[in-house]
Amino acid sequence: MKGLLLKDFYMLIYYGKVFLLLMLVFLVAGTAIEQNTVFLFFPCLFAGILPMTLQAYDERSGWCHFSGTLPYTRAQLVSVKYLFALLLGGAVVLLTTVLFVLSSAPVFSLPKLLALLAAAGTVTLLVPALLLPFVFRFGSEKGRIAYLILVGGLCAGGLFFLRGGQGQPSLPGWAGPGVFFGAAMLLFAGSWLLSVSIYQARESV
Amino acid sequence: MNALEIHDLSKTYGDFRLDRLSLTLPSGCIMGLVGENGAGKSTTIQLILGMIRGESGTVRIYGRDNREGICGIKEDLGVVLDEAGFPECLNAMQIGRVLQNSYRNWDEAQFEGYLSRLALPVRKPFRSFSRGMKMKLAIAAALSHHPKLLILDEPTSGLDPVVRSEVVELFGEFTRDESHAVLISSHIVSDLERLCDYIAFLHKGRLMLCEEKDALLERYGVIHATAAFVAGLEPSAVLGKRESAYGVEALVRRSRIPHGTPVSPVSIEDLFVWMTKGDM
Repeated sequence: MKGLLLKDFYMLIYYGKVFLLLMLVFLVAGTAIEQNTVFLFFPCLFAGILPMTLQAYDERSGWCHFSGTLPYTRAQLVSVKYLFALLLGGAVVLLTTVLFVLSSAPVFSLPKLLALLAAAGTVTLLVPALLLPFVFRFGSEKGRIAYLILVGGLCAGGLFFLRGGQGQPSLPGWAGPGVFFGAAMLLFAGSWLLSVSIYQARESV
Repeated sequence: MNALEIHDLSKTYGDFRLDRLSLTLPSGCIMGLVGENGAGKSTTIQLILGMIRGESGTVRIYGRDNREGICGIKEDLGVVLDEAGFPECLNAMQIGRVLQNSYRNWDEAQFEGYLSRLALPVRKPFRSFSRGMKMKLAIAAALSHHPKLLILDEPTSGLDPVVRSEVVELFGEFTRDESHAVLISSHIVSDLERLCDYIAFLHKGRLMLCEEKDALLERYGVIHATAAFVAGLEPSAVLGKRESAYGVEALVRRSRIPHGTPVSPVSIEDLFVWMTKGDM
């Protein structure tokens, strides 16, 4: 699958420039604005959306059809988008962590960091887990409706979840986000299996 | 050994049915798949590649059933579809690297050689390529992992005669190795006539004939005669006829007309048109 991953990487560099720039802006904003971690979650959201964006470009260029002639199984053609989501999401969560630690110095709170990691990981996994099966079933055009609903829901839910008692965004204890992260991992794995079975059952690639 | 063996392959799409298609392509040969739009050429190619599922029948590629280990089989296939399908933002070098990491036998030097020979830009994004350049890149990519069987779906459509001539030459070179074979579908029958050893006619999902090109040209011919002469021929001798004020032009089986009757050669294109339309 190295070839497929490399193709997605090239496409990310080309089509994802604006997303990558926005990610950086939000990461810096999230660490620069004291006690306001909500911005840190937007890069995770973007990282989750990008695999779907790349799939839309694949459909438009005819790659989805052409890739059926390459020595890959249908399962591999689907799995590459999930792997890409994991790699990109992992990189963003890592960067978020580094910036959070740097911005917290010299004071450092492990529970707070764990909570941040779990929440960021949840957002990163949740978006592709919920969107990709729609995209593989209905195509990226119709999948866009699910995307709009999800993004709206996550933004509203994220703000509500993270907003503390005094109206200042703050992180809750790490146990809650940890449970959500576990659930998101399970959902991601289930979504992966579901997308593979959807794509394998399709009449044509 | 046969490069491709198709047996009783069927597929239905609404009103269209590819009906129990059987054909065999021996190694070292080029077979042209001729048919009107919607005749089933692309359906046949997609069934061979396992991109769609057939209702019945089998496809064997160099003896291997295409339902078992299709990835391994595809390592031996070079495929060009009517749309190249490469990502628009990638350049030829990047496409080469993607394919290098996809095929076990990718030959970087060979790919670069084709890019240079076909005068393709290395750093320009694919979206800025002309139709001819896109097709040439697709052909270069299809040839650069040492495939044994080339499967080409309308590779010359929309190309100017110069580019067509270049790509037809490449296909000819490919089959100089006797273990190689080419299955090519096209509307442009003149290209196939120049290139192919075997011709298969598909019409409305049915295989009308599949024979060696030279045998076809020897077997059939066109006569120009009076209506009375043509009416006097045995019915199985006449495959189609065209009447005008000057007489009748008829496609005939040479072996079934009286000895000494003047017969003109028929082109593959005319033969296909005659056979699909019958009386015109």
